[in-house]
Amino acid sequence: MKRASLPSRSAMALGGAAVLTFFVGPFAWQILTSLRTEATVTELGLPHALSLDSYVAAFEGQPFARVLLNSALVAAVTTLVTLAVASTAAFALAKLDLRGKSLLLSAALAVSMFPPIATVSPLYLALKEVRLLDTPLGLVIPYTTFALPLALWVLTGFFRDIPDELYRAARVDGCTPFQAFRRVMLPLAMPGLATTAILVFIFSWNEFLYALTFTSSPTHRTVPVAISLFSGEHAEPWGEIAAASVIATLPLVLVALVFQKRIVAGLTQGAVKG
Amino acid sequence: MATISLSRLTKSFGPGADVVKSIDLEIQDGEFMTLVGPSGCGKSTILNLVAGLERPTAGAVLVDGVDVTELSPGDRDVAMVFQSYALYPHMTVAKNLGFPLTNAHVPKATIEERVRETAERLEIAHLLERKPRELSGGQRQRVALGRALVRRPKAFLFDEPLSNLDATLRSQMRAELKKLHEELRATFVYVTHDQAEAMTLSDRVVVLEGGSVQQVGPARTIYEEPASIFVAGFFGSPRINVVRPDVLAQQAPRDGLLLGVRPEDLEVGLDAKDAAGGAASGSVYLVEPMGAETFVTVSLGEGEHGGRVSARAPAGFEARTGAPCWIRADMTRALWFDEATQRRVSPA
Amino acid sequence: MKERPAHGYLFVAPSAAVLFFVALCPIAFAVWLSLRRFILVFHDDAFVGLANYRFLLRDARFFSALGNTVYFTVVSLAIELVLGLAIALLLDRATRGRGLLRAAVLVPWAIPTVVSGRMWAWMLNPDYGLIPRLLPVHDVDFLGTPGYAMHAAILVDIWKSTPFVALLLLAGLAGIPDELYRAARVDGASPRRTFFAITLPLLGPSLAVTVLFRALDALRVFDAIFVLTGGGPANTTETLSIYAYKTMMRTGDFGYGSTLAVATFAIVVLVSTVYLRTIGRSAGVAR
Repeated sequence: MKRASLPSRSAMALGGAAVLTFFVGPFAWQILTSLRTEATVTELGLPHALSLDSYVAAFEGQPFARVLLNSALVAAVTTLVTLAVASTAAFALAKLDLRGKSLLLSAALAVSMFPPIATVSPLYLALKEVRLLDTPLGLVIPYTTFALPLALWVLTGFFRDIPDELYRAARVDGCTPFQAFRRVMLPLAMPGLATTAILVFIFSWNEFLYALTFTSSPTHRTVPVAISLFSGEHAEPWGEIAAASVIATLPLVLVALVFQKRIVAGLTQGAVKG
Repeated sequence: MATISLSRLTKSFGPGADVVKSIDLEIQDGEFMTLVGPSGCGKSTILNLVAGLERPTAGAVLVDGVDVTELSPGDRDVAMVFQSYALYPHMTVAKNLGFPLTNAHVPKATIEERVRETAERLEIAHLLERKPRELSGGQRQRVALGRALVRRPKAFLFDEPLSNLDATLRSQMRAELKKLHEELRATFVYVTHDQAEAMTLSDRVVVLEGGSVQQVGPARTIYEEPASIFVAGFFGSPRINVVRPDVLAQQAPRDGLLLGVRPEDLEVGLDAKDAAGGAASGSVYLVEPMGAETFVTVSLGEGEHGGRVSARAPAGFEARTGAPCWIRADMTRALWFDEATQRRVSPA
Repeated sequence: MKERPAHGYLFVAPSAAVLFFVALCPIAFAVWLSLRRFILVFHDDAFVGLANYRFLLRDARFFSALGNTVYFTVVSLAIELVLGLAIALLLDRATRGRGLLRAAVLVPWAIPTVVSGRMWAWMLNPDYGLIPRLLPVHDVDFLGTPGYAMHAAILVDIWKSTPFVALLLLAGLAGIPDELYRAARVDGASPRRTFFAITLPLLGPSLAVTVLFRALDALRVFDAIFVLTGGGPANTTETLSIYAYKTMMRTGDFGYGSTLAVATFAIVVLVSTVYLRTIGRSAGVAR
């Protein structure tokens, strides 16, 4: 029982309601907007009739389904590659004795501090050279790079939490370091991997600057870019934008809600221990 | 300095979840009273209730005859020493010691003086400018004590303060605590699960189990005249042996009684010649040399109250496992327990 | 745990390679570009030494962007800290509804910044938006008016980032042993005194880390503002990153654009170094 004496119950309830309204309100409003009929999109009150017109329109004006697929593909591939690369490094950083550990960690820290804008021009030119501009793969490479520091921090923390003895026992039982990693440490780090996967997936799905710069054709865009460039014949098609936004974010929000404990643990683990 | 009274003190977390069951207790002024019992017996909860860190479901706490049940911890004029010391890590020792006084808006000069005085008394004056993380376990313990002392409270409450120390440090601090109590003659309420601490430190002991008082009295009395099998088993190491009388070749005065004999009241021998009357025969199960003496476990009889019995033997005792031996109880020191009620009865 | 180093290096090699080739090399290349006059469309490529940097120091638009960025960073950070701390305290103490509250707080974080930008643009729309119509003042075009636009951008950032701040501070709060609060109660400390004498000081390291992370993010801000205002009206919300982007992608001037980008990077490094040396050390942040 903590120091529950403080702010009264009603003050806390009020605070809670305010927080709820402020953080969820805009999103709820967006959902509401997306469900209105085209004519009533600009109304204030609750809608009399719900309609999926905006959703249909969202797919008509642009190749939105393709865009969703692009995002999903890029995010999935990025996540897999990042996990593969980061897990081995994180394991080594946490459990093995290496010189240059702090060098790698400093490099990772430095990379996470770069303004993405600083690498846009060289990467643009490089991708142009290898003709990977305007392709999903062209995005996976920079995404992996910039998700790596985050993945390293979170995973290193998780590996550190696994008792050293388990690794030593595996080695004594005859495993090579890689076998010990694969058979003993990796399975135990599953929660950490899951958490990292969620964080990296959300990061890649949400990334904007590189996607904006490196893709040009409408069929190769990712979701954030497509939404920022939504255009209709007349004025801004707010209903469609709302619908597209909801489609783009509802899965993420649901994932965040379902895995909230993991996500919170991962974020704070990376920050507090890093 | 003050008396503390608990009147029908109850703490419950819901139906069937009674942690403290209507406790009545009188703690005398200047007494060192220990609450002892296994984990979950309610002793820490009672301490929290006395301190005001928890509110009782029913009943009252009185300090010096004044009902303090509704008062916040700061207003009860009691001080508490915590198991992990609870020293404020970001404050120097001096600030830690002075914290309760600054809360009470005591003038700065007085605070400085009292802090210095307390620090000198506990021999930590040279540590005043250090932070807790720079101190050893024993030093931190003293700072925690100092923070309590500096307030000159009516009573001192201790929540298992020695549990986190290693064995050597523990006995050293135990001695210091006892000395401190002798000096101050203040009311100490001390919680521990360690029966050795309870025995050595206290004027009186309260044995608790399942939220109720099992027995109250001086340590010596509790050891020699335990009220029940539970109390008897709680004190004394190795545990008291409670067996069917015939296992030790004894006759119960009447039916339904169990015989309780402490290991130091049993004699073990290997040579059948030395077995006088009243000895039972069995075989050696385990021999544990302890240096100053040897613990011997002997296999006798079968069944729930048969089985194995522990005895203390002289330091030189040696035997193979399985060697036949005899064992005799000093019946003048024997205790009789009613098997059904588990309580001690007089033999007559 | 001593192992033959060779194994260890193999484990670490892929990460090191990725970081080196895809991150560190481009940075070096960007620095190299910043020393050239490089306009993509004209195939104009010449080494000009520090000319770009000299121009930078006389570039009014650069300093305006710098000012906008700093203002944005300071204001949003200050508000996020206070709000985030309040929410963290609420989450820490809430017995019922904690899960719901935490879920609510994660929603902004999960939504792509761009989408939140659009979302708020919709709510702030002068003709149809929810907010102008709810407020007594009716004729305000939040995103189109120089003074208001920056604050709208700050509002969006607060909405988006406070959750992260709250979660970090919550973790810090959870790290304070419960026993200290009990001791403080027995020591007669009022709730207010407990907060200022115990909670806040012990939260120091968490606060320091949070400020650093948020400050770095804010200095580099791009997504939200780009989508919200595009840097307008009249460049009043143009931050360093946006100016650099426009120079590179709209004007096609990769040379000067790289200069701006490198300058931004230098500023970020400067801020974090200064920060870590001074506040970081005293708050106990290990480095």
